[in-house]
Order: sequence, then structure tokens, then C-alpha cells
Amino acid sequence: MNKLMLILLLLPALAIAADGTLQVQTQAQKEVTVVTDEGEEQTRLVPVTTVVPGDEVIYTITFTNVGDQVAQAITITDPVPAEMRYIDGTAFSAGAELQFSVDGGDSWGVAEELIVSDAEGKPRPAQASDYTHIRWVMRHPIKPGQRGYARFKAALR
Amino acid sequence: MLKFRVQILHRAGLVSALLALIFAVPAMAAGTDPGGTRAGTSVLNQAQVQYQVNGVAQTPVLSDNDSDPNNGIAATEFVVDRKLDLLVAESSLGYNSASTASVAPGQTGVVLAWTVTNEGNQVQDFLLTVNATGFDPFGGTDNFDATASGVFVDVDGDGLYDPLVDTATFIDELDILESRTVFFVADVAANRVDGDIAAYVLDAQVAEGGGAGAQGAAITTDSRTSADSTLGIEDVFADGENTNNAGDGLRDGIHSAEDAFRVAAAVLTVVKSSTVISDPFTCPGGVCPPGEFPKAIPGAIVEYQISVTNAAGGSQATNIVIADDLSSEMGGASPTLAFVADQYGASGDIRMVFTPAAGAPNTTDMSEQADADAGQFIANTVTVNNLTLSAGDQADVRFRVEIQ
Repeated sequence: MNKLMLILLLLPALAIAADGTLQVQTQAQKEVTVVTDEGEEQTRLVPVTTVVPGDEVIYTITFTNVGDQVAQAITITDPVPAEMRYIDGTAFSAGAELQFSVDGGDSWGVAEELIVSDAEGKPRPAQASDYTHIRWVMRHPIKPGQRGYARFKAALR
Repeated sequence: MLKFRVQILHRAGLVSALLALIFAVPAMAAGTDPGGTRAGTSVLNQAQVQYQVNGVAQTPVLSDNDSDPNNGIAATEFVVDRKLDLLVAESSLGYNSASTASVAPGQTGVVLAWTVTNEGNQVQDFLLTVNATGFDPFGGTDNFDATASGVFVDVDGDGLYDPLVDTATFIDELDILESRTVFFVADVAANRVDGDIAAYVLDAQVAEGGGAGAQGAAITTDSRTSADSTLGIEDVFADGENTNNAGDGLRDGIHSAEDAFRVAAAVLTVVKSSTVISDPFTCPGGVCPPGEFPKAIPGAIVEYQISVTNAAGGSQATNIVIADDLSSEMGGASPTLAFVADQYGASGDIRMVFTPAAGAPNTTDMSEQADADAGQFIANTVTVNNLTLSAGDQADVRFRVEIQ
């Protein structure tokens, strides 16, 4: 089963071939530390199974150009689930500009620009836990057969 | 040119990775959030990607995890598992409890109190056990055990033990981040003395909730050794450990805390003193000139004072009887003393000055007859009945005699 999935992941362009089409997957994983037979500690990503409040989940969005045209101006938008709290500094993607939203995706800015209202209605700088959406604006197009990914960590509230 | 662009891409990626490392803040350790998202909640996530082909915006694509855009299964989903977590804390931050501020030798129905808080993410029952322990959480030395009469839950939520109301013996249906007070009720033997300590530990065990009024089964193992499932609900113990209690390990579904009774006996001291008020020669007509002191000669008036003090920090003493038998002085063929009435106002034969631990003294004058007031002088004995002294209180009983 694993081998089959690996082959599918390696050859996505062959799986579905439609013009200029991106295929997007989102995975939720947890980081676990395992001890190998040699006694070494290794960090691995495993599918999310047991999650209780406080646990961290790593979301990985993989986008693959399964068409025959170059895909340009790629923007990935992912809502942080309402039950999760984005962990500051964990959003990452090679060659992307990061933007965040604190109002459900209506307005966007880089982290330093965002303002929210506190309990008394006074404005204060937004914290990572205020983010409702994350956006990656990719600086580069991807060619047919290429793939990119975006990733962030969030903790279950 | 192409090579150059590849290098830029590569370096940009490296910089982003470094930034991610620098700005990553230590996240809260797993499972330490009290309460939190309820067990069984589905957490969904679906990313959207917008893009262009040849400068023309294409229909945005939503993430689809099984690569089949037509089967309706798209969002990434997991189900929040059940965190089993509880916190037991001693509730009065000291010996005894709000229900029993002071414990006296021989007192029955004395109460210790703890709070139990559900820090898990589902409604649970909690089973309660109290055991005697040698560990005094307040630094004293445990030296006796009281006679236990039961462990009860504060059903009405007032924090005070009410035997008629607080009869439940397990915590029923405690919601996320809610607390209940738990009482241990016992009797203290009459032969215990001031400063004796009896320490107890409350073990609270997480149990299945869901049936109001019914005691749920104890949950003694979690799912750490069973196979995981993304959409099933597994159990995860997240409770702390009490290293003073062998029965309470880390992540075992049990939490515990100690509390202790400390006996405070009433320690009464009695002092009797006398003062010459007047003699017939120094103080003719009962008035002593300034600078002259009456002497204890025949015909002199002498005031006796009996002072009873309950030591600070002890228990209240009730039903105190002060009796001064003067038979040997006043009886027989040739008495040496005679009781003198009406020395405190028109009909005050015996005076009592009550000085509370805090506050102003209060004076009561009483007749020598056996009547409604507490004082009497009968059969050559001065008696004051029904006196109550709290810790730190003092009562001075005064009466006057004439030297024969």
C-alpha cells in the first residue's frame, strides 16, 4: 500500500492530465520522535491519529502541476481551523511571500501590519493565535510535472 | 541566466527556513492545556489555490486528499480525542477546612475539604477515596488517625459540608474546567491533645461520564498501546503526579492531594488575686485619702479576682463553671471572712469583666441569688456558670469580702 502511494506521488503528472490543472492535497500530520533499532532518536511525521488539546498538528499543502501548461501567480490560501491556534513562525514555503488574515480572509497583511481589537475594543498588534487564514504568494511559476508545498503548525485549542 | 535564477530560488528557500527556525517560539507542551476542544470534535481543513495560465486566471482549486475531485471527500479531517485530566487541590490552604475551622479533642463530624477540577475535554465522573497518610502537607508531623465516617461531594456548591444535602459519594457529570468540593468527615478521639495532626490524601479517579445520577466505570487505562485511528476517539491520560502518594502516578487517570486535621485544644489558665479596697481606719466611710493605702486588718474590704484565660490559637471552651469555695474561711464558729453584697451598684454582688481576644471589655454585674444571671453566692461558694471563652478571651470574676 505504501509503495503504491509512493509511486502515485512520484508520478502525479501521469495520473491525471488536464490542461493547466493544479492538483492540491492537504495533509495533517504529527511530529513523533522514534528510536531506531540503532538507538538513534529520529523525528518523523506520521498521520494525525491521537490529538488532544495542546497537541501540535503540521498541515502540509502539496500542489502539483498535472497539466501541460505553466501555472503562474500561484496563491495558496488555507484557513486555520477554528479549533486550532497557529504557532508563530511555523508557516513556510520555499520562494513564497507570507500573508496572514485576522478577519476570516477579508483583509491580508504581513504579520507586523495586523491589528485586532482587544476585549475592551482597543486596537493591539495581532498575535499568531489571532490568525484566521494563512496565504502563501508564490514568487515563481511551476512547470508541468513540478510541485511545490506550503506548511504550517497549529496547536489544538 | 537560468543557473542564476535557480540559485536565487535556492537561497530564498534557505532564508525562509532560517527565519522559520528563529521565530519559532516554544509551543506549549503537548496535553497541558486545561480543558480545550471537546472530544469528538471534527477538525477540518481545506486549502485553496489560485493560479493563472498564460496570464488568465483559472478556476481556483480546493485541496482534495484522495485525488478524486468528484467523490465529495475533500477536506483533511481528524477527530479530537479524549483527554482525561484532573486536578485535586486542598481547598483551605491550611489545616482543617472552612467547614471545621478548629478541631477539638473529642469533636465529631470534623471536615477536611479539597477541590476536584475536570481539566479534560469531556464530561466525566470522578470516583473518590480518602486514605490516612503520614505526609503532612503543612510541614507538621502526622501522629494519629481520626475515625472516618465518609467522603462526600459538595452537592449544593457552597463549599461547606452540610450532612443533610452533601450526601453524594462520587462526582457526577463534571463538565470541562468545572470544579467540585469534596469533604472527608471524621471523628477525633477525646484523648487527643493540642497540636496533634492527622493527615489524609484524597485520590480522585477519572470515570466514564454520560449517565446523570449513575456512577461511571473507572477509566484505568488509556489508548497509548492501542492502534490509532484518525476518525476514532482515543483516550489520553494527561494528569499529573503526586510524588508523596504511591497511588498517584503520572498519566494514570488519578490525581491526589493531602490535607490534615490539627487538634487545637482549649488551654485554660486560672489566676486568683486579691486587693484591699478599704479599711475602717485608713479609709473612714470607705473613702481612702489620696496617697494612703488600706491594709488587711479586721473590718477591711478585700476584693478577690478570679481570671480565666483561654490561650490564643486554641479551641473555644464552652460551659465553663468558675467556683470558689470559701467554706473554710466563712464557715465554722469563728469565720475569718464574710461575703459583702451590693459592692457593684445597688444590687451587684458579683462582677464579671469579659475581655474578648479582639474588642472592648464588657462588664456584667450579677446578684448572689440563684436566678437568671449566671452568678451566685450560696453555701459559702461563689459560682459563675455557663461561661464561653473563645481562643484569646479572658473572663475576670470579682467579689468582695470583709475581714472578720
